[in-house]
Formats: sequence, C-alpha cells, structure tokens
Amino acid sequence: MKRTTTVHHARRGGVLVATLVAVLAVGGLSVCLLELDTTRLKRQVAGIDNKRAFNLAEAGLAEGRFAVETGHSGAIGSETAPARFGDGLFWVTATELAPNVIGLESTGMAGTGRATLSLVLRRTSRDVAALGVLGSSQVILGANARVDAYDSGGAPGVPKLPERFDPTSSVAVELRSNGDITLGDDARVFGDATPGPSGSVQLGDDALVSGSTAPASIETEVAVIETPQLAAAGDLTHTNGSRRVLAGDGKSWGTIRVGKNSTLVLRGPLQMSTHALRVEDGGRVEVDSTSGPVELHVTDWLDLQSGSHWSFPQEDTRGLRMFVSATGTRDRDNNGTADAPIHWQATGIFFGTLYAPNARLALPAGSALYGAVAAGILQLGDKAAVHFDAALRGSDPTSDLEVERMAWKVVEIPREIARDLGEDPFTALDVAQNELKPPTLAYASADYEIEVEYVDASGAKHKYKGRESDFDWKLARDVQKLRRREQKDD
Amino acid sequence: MRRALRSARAGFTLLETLIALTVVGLVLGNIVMVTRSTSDAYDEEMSKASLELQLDQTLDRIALALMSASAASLQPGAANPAFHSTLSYAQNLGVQAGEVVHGAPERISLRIEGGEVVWVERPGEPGERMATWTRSVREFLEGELQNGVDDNGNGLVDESGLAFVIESGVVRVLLTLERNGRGGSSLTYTRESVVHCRNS
Repeated sequence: MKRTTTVHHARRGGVLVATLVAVLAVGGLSVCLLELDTTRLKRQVAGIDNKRAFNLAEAGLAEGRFAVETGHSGAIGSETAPARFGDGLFWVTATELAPNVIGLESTGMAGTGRATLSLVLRRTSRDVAALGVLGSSQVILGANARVDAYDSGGAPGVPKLPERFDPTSSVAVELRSNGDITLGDDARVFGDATPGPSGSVQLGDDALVSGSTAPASIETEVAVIETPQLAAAGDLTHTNGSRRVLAGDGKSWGTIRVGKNSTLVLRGPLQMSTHALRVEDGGRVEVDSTSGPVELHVTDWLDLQSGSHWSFPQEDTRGLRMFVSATGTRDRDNNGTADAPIHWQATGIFFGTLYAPNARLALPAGSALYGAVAAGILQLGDKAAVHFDAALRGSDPTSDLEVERMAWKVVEIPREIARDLGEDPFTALDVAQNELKPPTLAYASADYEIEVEYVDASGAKHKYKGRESDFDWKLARDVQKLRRREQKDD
Repeated sequence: MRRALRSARAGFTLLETLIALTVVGLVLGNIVMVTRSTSDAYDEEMSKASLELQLDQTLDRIALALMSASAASLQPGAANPAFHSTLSYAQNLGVQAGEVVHGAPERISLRIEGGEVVWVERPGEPGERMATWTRSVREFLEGELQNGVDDNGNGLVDESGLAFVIESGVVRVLLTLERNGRGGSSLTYTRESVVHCRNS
C-alpha cells in the first residue's frame, strides 16, 4: 500500500513541472512585452508632458509681457509660490538688463515635463519729451551754452532758473546722444550728459556736467514721424503786412511764406502740416494756445530767416508741438545754393516741443528754448540755452508705453528643478495645488524702487516714487512714465 | 516476485506516452503559434509607434530650432506656394549690451540619397558641424508623385519628403517617413507643423 502511494506521487510531479515550465515561459514573455509597452508609453507621456510644460512656459512669457505692458515688473509668482494654470504651474522672473530692457524667464511644469523660455523686451515711448534733450547723432554746445531742466507743472511763463545747479533739486536734465557730446568753454549741463555706447563727452575749458557722463549701454531709438493726412490746401503766401490767423480744421499746406511785417497766427486747437514754412526777414509767427495746443508738421523745409521772429504770448511749453520730418541738404528754392532742412535764425524765445530726428538743428547764439527738443544733430550757439520742462513728460495724449520683443529663446531649466524630473510638479516644489494663485493674481511686486507717472480713472495725472510693493497698480488707468530700480537692502 | 511485478507496472505504457507527447506537442505548438503571432503584431505596432515617435521628435526638433531663429535670417525666403527642402537660418542668442546677438548660420536639409534630415552648423565654413536628425525620409511627400501635379491636394506640386513653406516669418514644415515593417509591409507616416519664428 505504501509503495503504491509513492508511484502516484512521482507521476503527479511530472505534469506539474511541465505545466510550470509552460506557465513560466508564457509569463516571462508577457512581462517582457508589458515592460516594453510600458517603456514606450512612458516615452509618449513624457513627450506630451514636455509639450504641455513648453506651452505653460509660453503662457508665462505672454502673461509676463502683458504685465510689463501694463507697467508691472513682469515677474509672476516664484519658485516657492508659482502661478497655477490648468493642471500645471509656471513662474516668471524679470530682470532689468539695462534701462528699459527687461529679461523675462518663464519656467513651466506639467506632469514630468519641464521647460524654461527666455524673452527680452524693450520698453519704448513715442513721447518726445521722454527722450529728454536729444541729438541722436551728435550734440554740440557752444561757449557758455546751457542745458538744464525745470518742472513747470503745466503753469505757463518764463521760470526763474538758478544760476548754479541745485543738487537738492529732483529735476535734472537728461542730455543724450547716440554719438559724442561736445561742450564748449564754460558750457553747462545741469544733469546727466549721456553719449552713445561708443561715444564720449568732450569738455571745453571750465565746461561742467553736474551729473553723470557715462555712456549709454544701448542707443536711444527715435520714433518715425507720422504726418497726419489732412485736406490739401495749396500754397499760402502772406506778405501784405497784416495778421492772418490759421484756426479750426487743420489743412495740409504746400509752402507757407510769411513776408516782412506780416504775422501768421497759429491758433489752437489746431493740427496742420506744411511742405515748407518760410518766414522772411521781418516776418513773424505767433502761436496762440489760449484755447488749445497747436500741432505743426513741416515735411520738407523749415526756413526761419534772419530777422524773423517767434512769438508765444502764453509762454506755454504745451502750446506747440512741432514735428519736422525734413531731411537732406539740397537746393530747395532753386537759387543754386544747397539748403539744409532746418534753417533757424529766428529771434524770440521758443516754447514747446520740437522734434526733428533727421535734421541738424542749430540754435543761434543767445537763443532760448523752453520745453523739449530732439534733433539729428543738436547744436547750440554761444550762450544759447535749452531749458527742458520735465512736466512735458507723458503729456502727449497719443503716446503710451510700448513694449517690443528683442529676443526669444529656449534656455536650460534651472538646476534645482532638473533634479526632480520624475515627480509631479506640485510635489517637487512642495506646494499645494489648491493654494496657488492664478497668473493674474500672482503678479510679483518685488522690492523695486519705482518712479511712475500715471493717469487715474478720472483722468488726473499723478506721480509716485517709492517701493513697488507699496504702490497700488489698480490706481493707474494709464502709465505714462516708469522707471524701475532694484531696491537695495538697507 | 510480487514486488518486482508491481514496480514494472508503475511506468507509462507506450500508449500513455504517445498520448502525452501528442498533447504536449499540441499545447507547445499552440503556444508557439500564439506567441509568434502576438510577437509579429507587437513588432508591427512597435514599428509604427517607433516611426511615429521618430517623426514627432524630428518635427519637434525642427520646430524648436525655427522658433528661436530670426525670421529675417530665413533663407530662402520665397513665399507660398514655393517649397524648399533646405532652410538656412540664424538663431537669436539673446541680448548683450543692448544689442541682439545672432548665432552661427545653421541649415536643415533633406539628403535624398540617404533619406536623411541633416542639420549643419556653419555650412561650408571652418568648424562646420553636422548631425543627422532622422532617417527613412521619403523622396516625395506621402501621396505625391513626380508628375507636375498636386497629387495629395496640399497646394504643393511634387514636394519632397521634407518641405518648408515660408510666409512672413511663419514656416510650414511637412515631413514623411517611410519604413518597411517586420512583415514586409510598408509603413508611411506624415506630419505637418506650422512654426512661428519668435524673433523678427
């Protein structure tokens, strides 16, 4: 009986072994196939996650750019408190690389995907006064010439300016060029004289610049003049010794000629253009800004001959904005002599903004200009003066801060992020998904020192200077001027 | 004597052995057949997936390169409907001292002989670098024949397996990969991507 049992055991074992071999073979094969399939799936998922992370980083850059356009720093969230977006997250860091040049770096994380993108932006303004006093190619100041600044606060009249630079004054001129700045003997600049990146400031005997003379890191861009399209009106010759008033609907004139003892009154509000404005000896141009400002475009020739005269009864720097798009020296009156696009021999104190980015503007000796001026080459004769009115900054209703893209590129993800590639982003950063803010609420107001001029909802203009974190951006309907410096720890 | 007879009877009879062998053979045969067909199907799917992945990765690589490129640097810059199988460009490396810095010239092209997408940095210059981004590129895009007609209805005539269509800083990239599957069948996949150059 005992032996029979032994035989039965041996026979059952044989079948078991064969079955086990078969099961193990099939099982092993299945595991291999499953492993391969899982690997392939992982690669596909990783590819999708990387694309999602890339899109999140792009969204971060778009949000950052919008933030810059609306006057913010461009920073959104941070690595420790990123912005939640969909089922992923992102944060954007902003760095002021140079004045008005902002570098944004956006890191997006989704699933196992990570991506970091970089965008460099440049803030520009079409506001002429934002340029300060500019000679885009060159600035030359004659002996005893003077460039300074004051703040009229919108009030008309000739200000009483100090003889010496007041270091406690918050108003200083910014005299700029993309080339050299040359000061004649005893010339004075009450503020910074900033030559171009490869330019320099050359000082004559006893010449003085109260501020910095360091060259700019980038060139100052000048905006192209957009001449308005107005109804054509032919030539205007006014030589009968009377006063003639131009007012009402603006026109596009051919050549305007003002003869001896004749006065042409430009009465605001008025927008007009002319091919050439020629004021002869004894002729007079008067700007009447009692009811509104005058905007004058001269497209080919501004010829203010010796003995001609400017007159500004209101003495208001906001009263006239003159744009001269003329360029190139050639014979403009067919007398066999080449004529520069601007010939300025007029007497009288000029009040207003003068913008001639492609022309040489040579102000005669002893002349004075209150307001703002930008020219291709700016030359001041001996004892001539330019008094920059800081109140003009941001006063141009048509000019807004503009932001242009300079460079976009893919950069390496931060090292500390690269360590946890396999983890869920919220786990990797140790943040709670439901506690994170959406992008629009995650704008970072880092400790920047800002100087901002803005218009509030009622249209009133305000200035603020201080920590950005203390400034309520909701107050600003329109940002007209913005300077941002990194806050130094005390 | 009784013990010896019992031991002899404990073995398998010939019939039992034959039946067992037949059953085992049938089982093993089935296993082999199932395994082989599964394996073939798996290989086929893997080939397809691999080709698709290769196609996606190549297009992503091209797209990423063109995104960082300066739109003004694209050469040739001819507009739609012309297409090109070679595209030269320069990457925007960022801003230094207020100026935009561009990288060395780069080129992505189709090498028809090897069916390869080739990337070259500094083409024809000292320090030239080259890499093959993918193989198995078809001579003509899927559905296209060399007959002067737009066979596949995509607006392009006789376009190559890698085709760039450039229009105002936007590049349309079309790519077809073709490979023989394990079973001898031909696998063909085509993808199209529209890339906006982020730099002007």
